[in-house]
Amino acid sequence: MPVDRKGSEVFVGKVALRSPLIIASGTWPHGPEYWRSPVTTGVGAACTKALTLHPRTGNPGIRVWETPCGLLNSIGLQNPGLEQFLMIDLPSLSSGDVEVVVNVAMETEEETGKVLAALSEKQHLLGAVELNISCPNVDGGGMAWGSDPVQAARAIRIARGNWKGPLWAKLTPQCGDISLVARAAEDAGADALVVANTWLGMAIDTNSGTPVFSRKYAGLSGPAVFPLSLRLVWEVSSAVGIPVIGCGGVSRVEDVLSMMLAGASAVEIGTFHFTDLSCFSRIEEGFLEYLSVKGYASAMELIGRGKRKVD
Amino acid sequence: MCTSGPDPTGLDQDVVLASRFSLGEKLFILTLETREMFSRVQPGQFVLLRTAAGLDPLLGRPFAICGQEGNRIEIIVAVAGRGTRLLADSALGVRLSLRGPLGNGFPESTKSRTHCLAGAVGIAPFLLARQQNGESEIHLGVPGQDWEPLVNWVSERIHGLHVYSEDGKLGNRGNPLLCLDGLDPRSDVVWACGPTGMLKAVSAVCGKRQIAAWVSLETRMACGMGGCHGCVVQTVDGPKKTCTDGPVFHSQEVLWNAS
Ligand SMILES: Cc1cc2nc3c(=O)[nH]c(=O)nc-3n(C[C@H](O)[C@H](O)[C@H](O)COP(=O)(O)OP(=O)(O)OC[C@H]3O[C@@H](n4cnc5c(N)ncnc54)[C@H](O)[C@@H]3O)c2cc1C
Ligand SMILES: Cc1cc2nc3c(=O)[nH]c(=O)nc-3n(C[C@H](O)[C@H](O)[C@H](O)COP(=O)(O)O)c2cc1C
Ligand code: FES
Repeated sequence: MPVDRKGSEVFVGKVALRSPLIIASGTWPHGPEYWRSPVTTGVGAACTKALTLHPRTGNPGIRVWETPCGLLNSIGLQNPGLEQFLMIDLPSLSSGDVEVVVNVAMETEEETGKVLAALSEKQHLLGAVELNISCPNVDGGGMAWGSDPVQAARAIRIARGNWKGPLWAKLTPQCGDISLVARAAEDAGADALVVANTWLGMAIDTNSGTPVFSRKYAGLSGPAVFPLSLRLVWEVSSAVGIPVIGCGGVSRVEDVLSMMLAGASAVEIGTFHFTDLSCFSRIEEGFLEYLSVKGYASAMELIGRGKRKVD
Repeated sequence: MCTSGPDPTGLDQDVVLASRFSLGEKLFILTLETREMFSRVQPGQFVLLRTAAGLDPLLGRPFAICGQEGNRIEIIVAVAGRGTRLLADSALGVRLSLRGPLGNGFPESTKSRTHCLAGAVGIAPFLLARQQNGESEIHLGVPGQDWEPLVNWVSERIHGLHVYSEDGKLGNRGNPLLCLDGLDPRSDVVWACGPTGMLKAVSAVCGKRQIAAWVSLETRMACGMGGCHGCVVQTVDGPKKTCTDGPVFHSQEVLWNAS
């Protein structure tokens, strides 16, 4: 029997998503067939690979390394740049049936300004911009923007000045007290916060005796980090009034429910779909079943409910 | 963990380990029964395979498909680490998670003769090529006598197999590159699969002699479907993904000295 998927709709501010599940940036192919039914069953939105003004070739050497229940990556924002993205990628991605969230890597003020000004011309094709102030795998910019409240606020203000549509800021765990960064991003005009990007880690190849990655450190993701991300979601959603999107290690319906009970309005999944492509449709089905068994009329009723009894 | 839900991309499915044939402690032929029948697999195409239970290992391991019949496919698994050990030790009848078939295989050629050069388990795509079309010349190089069970097993399937070993105890002394001396660039094309050092050497010789050569590369992978940019190789046309642009590339396209 076909599953009735109504009822899992959520709102991230003004952005309506037919499901709370979002495909995390940098993990999903840009081929148009991956952005439409049937592949997108269970998916509410999908984030593009990080976009920069000019093409980037990414990092040399080994880029992915499995860890127990996790994955270290050092991709380095490889992407074809704004011109090709606008000409080839965006028209085909936006012809699909999920909201397109364009992940914009924060570079210099001038570069990011140009990218966002160009995206503004195509605002009708986008659900939101996800401003990446949290990439651990590049020098200059990247995570440095998100690592303290002053820099984060500056980045958001630059973005806000060039993009009037929904603006999500993707935070990094590498930032001291994340609630301070979160509040600064809210005050500077972010519409929602994505919590969070990868955790800085490392691997050493014991055969060669040297670090695996050319940049030594790399970003850890996947089920291994889930409890860490959940704690951040709880903290951030307690600190701000804007919606929070949970991200990091989600692999089961229980993880989605936990993130939402902790205060997330929606949840991103990246690494786990490398393991199991059916996760979106399967998790959404489990999610709907939970709502029905527990007697919730809408997914929105779940958001932050875990806090009411505790905080 | 349940991984049995229908996958809307059609790429993921659970398969059953139908048989295992041992060619030594660290080398196995696995037959996998797929639920959905694959369309005709090209030699060089691969699958990502992992044990279905649990989250560790998290990622599928890449293996070239070496045989296809009905809804059964065959792979050769050389135990290299934890993931391959777990797959090789899996009980018969157990479910494994498979993503595939993935990538682009060796291209059909209009040249009159294809010469396939394999290093050890790099023979896998050429077993499939021979199953589909009996025409090619196949050259298998192995490090030494320990590999006799593989050589014998392959010899039963590939009549006229040319064998090489460094010490000459199995077949000819040397390696499959020896066969390149006699090739004619006008009529011959080379396919190669094996360790990167061998592929680089094939590329150097074929480049110099203007023989068209295609090589199947190995890189680490996460998604296998072009999403993660984890498997990139540097080429004359910029970075390319081994999983979707390859794993088979023209040898002169690859920048062998770029890391
Ligand atoms: C396109 C392709 C086809 C292949 N075909 C075959 C085949 O037919 N038969 C066969 O025995 N092997 C094949 N390999 C190599 C095989 O995938 C690796 O030996 C295997 O992934 C090692 O996994 P492990 O967990 O045992 O080793 P570990 O070293 O513990 O693995 C750790 C991580 O590194 C990755 N990794 C390690 N070595 C390699 C490698 N050489 N290539 C790619 N990833 C690696 C693993 O996948 C895993 O993610 C192929 C590789 C590729 C890319
Ligand atoms: C291979 C890979 C590439 C990534 N690329 C990006 C990127 O381009 N931009 C970004 O904001 N996050 C990127 N990320 C981070 C993910 O979007 C996500 O925040 C992180 O992996 C945690 O979620 P997960 O555990 O569900 O994967 C990448 C992650 C991986 C594994
Ligand atoms: S393995 Fe993910 S892009 Fe190739």
